[in-house]
Amino acid sequence: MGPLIPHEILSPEWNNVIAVFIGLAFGFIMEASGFSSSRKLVGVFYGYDFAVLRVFFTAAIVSMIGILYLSKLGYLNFDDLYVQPTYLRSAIIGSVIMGLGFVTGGFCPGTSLCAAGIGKLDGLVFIIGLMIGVVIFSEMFPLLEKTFNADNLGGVTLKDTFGISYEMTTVLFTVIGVIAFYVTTIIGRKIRNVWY
Amino acid sequence: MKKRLLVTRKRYIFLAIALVASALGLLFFDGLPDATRLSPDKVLLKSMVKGHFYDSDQIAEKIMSGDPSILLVDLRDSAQYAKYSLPGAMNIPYGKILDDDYVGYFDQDQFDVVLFSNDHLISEQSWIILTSKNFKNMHVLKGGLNEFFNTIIRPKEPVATAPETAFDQYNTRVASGYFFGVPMPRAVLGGESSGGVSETGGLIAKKKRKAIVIRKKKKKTVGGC
Repeated sequence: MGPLIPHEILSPEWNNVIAVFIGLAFGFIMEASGFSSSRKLVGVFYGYDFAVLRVFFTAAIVSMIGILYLSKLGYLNFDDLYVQPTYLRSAIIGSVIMGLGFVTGGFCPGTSLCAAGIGKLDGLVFIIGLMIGVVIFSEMFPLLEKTFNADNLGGVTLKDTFGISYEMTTVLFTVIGVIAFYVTTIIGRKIRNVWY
Repeated sequence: MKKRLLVTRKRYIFLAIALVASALGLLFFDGLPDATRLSPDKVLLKSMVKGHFYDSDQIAEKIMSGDPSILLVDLRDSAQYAKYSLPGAMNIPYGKILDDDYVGYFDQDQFDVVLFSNDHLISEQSWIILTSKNFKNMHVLKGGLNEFFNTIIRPKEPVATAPETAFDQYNTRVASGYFFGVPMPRAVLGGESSGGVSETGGLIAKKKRKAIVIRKKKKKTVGGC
């Protein structure tokens, strides 16, 4: 049955309509989780708030389990899903820049929009900085192109790399997630006097 | 306050157990029988997506780069195959694709099988038959050898007002044609005499010549949180 648009069950025009609804739901959940506060977001780096880890880990695990069940029940064709190619060098460099930006700016791109949406000035400033960064990157792209496209491993998954089945990967991630939730809860209980 | 904390804690424990149980369930649930068998409507859906088509440019590039992952299968009869075919292609006539001698070439997951004939009608029919048997990695050369001939062997020069990409594509095709034995046209050689294009274009290319083809990499969409 799925994916719905590549299988022409829905026409491509629905792409943007669905995107709006998913965007609204995503924004709502982020705001409800307190992700418009930069102090809450960076708590994961300083060790006083682990909401980011919990929310995104839960989202990843639920998606993994959901996709596999939908595929096994015949509602989704697993092979037709798009797998983003892994550009190893860009991924490592990008992660370092993203991490630095996150810990110093207090937002990731999505949450900065969320913060700006409720009128937070730091969110707005972050977006302006983000746009400047985009322009600089675009202008410098010819210089960076070689690095940008280096070490393209293609659409590889953990299954291809480690030879573990999708099911086992999901179980491992779920167990790691639950352990992480437990450990962060214990840490959270010990650090109660941090004001933010 | 303490009671509330206890309830929240119980909820978290319940959710954690539910997640682990669902994940473990995946190991023991093989899916509905219908999900693993490819029913006619699924084959039809797959054929409608058109993701199984390779165009001539893609195939030319794969042949030139010596891509070891593709298996070119000429579905025409042996007489036509003997006359000309794509370099490196093997001949499995359309009527014999399910013969015991040949089915092993399709029932595997090592190669991307590319089916082709003069047009893509026979290859499309073969693709439907092979895909309905749940054989993986089946592809069809879009337009068959005729299209390959018209795009790679005898590419049409774009009009002067065409966008630059059309000229890039034309030059790539001319260079590709050179690999397949087509003499370089006068315009590409900068005025030197080059001769005409042969009728078959030397598709069967006994002696391979290397041509460097520079193709622009497609930009992929990237996501983020």
